[in-house]
Amino acid sequence: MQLNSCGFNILAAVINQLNIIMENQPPFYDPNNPNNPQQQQPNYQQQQQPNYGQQNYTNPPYGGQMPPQSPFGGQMDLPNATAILVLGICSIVGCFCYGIPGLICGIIALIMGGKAMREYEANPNMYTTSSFNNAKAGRICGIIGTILSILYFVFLIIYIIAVGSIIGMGSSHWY
Amino acid sequence: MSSWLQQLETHLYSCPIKEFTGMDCPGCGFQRSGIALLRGELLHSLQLFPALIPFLFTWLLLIAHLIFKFKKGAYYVRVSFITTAVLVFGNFFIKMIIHFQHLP
Repeated sequence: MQLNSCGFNILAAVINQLNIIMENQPPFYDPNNPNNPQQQQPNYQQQQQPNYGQQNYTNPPYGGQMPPQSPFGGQMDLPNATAILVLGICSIVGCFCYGIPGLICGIIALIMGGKAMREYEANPNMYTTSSFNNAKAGRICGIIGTILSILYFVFLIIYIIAVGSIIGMGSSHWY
Repeated sequence: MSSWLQQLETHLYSCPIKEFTGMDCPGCGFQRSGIALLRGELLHSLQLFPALIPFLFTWLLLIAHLIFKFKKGAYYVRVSFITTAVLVFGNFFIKMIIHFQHLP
């Protein structure tokens, strides 16, 4: 029992020594920047952490915060960017039938586009530029479609009121 | 082919605004223009509804952009859309001028 405990003590001491040696050794040799104390320090915590989709992760040199990344690694598309673009273009297709289909599509594209823009502005590094461009184009198309549909709708209402009043003037019954 | 086109020509969707108010809507002429385009009469198609070809081009460009993801695809779609919108409502505006000129 004593021998055993003694053996364990020796083993523990050897492991401690090995640990100390390992800790004092620089983890890697950097020929470009040998005097950088930050890089010579071992960073076991980072090595032990699992790297879930952070292969491109690099520490900022001045200790600044990293921009938030998507959970899947690289950048991802803005949600509904394609839908915004398609709805924005549909807003001009629906100009017939009193401008109501165009108005509905245009307003949906506008609202969704505004939401997507706000999301992109909150963290621009998370989303791809192409999807942002799609959302922006869809939003502009939606704005144009909505404005034209509203103008047409207002024109129709004015026309119907005018025609109705002209017809009414011919056979008016004043009460 | 021609019988199919004749079938299309005789079964056009009537515009509710034209039936109700007697004047054209911004989309009036679309179907006739499409049939003219199917017949191969390009000028007649442009005469009936000048925005049809830019309109079809916009949709084709949009589909191609969504599949192949062009670098400046969104910009081109936007420009094409604005051209279509200007043509649709320009055509409508001219139709309205003619319509109100011929009013009794």
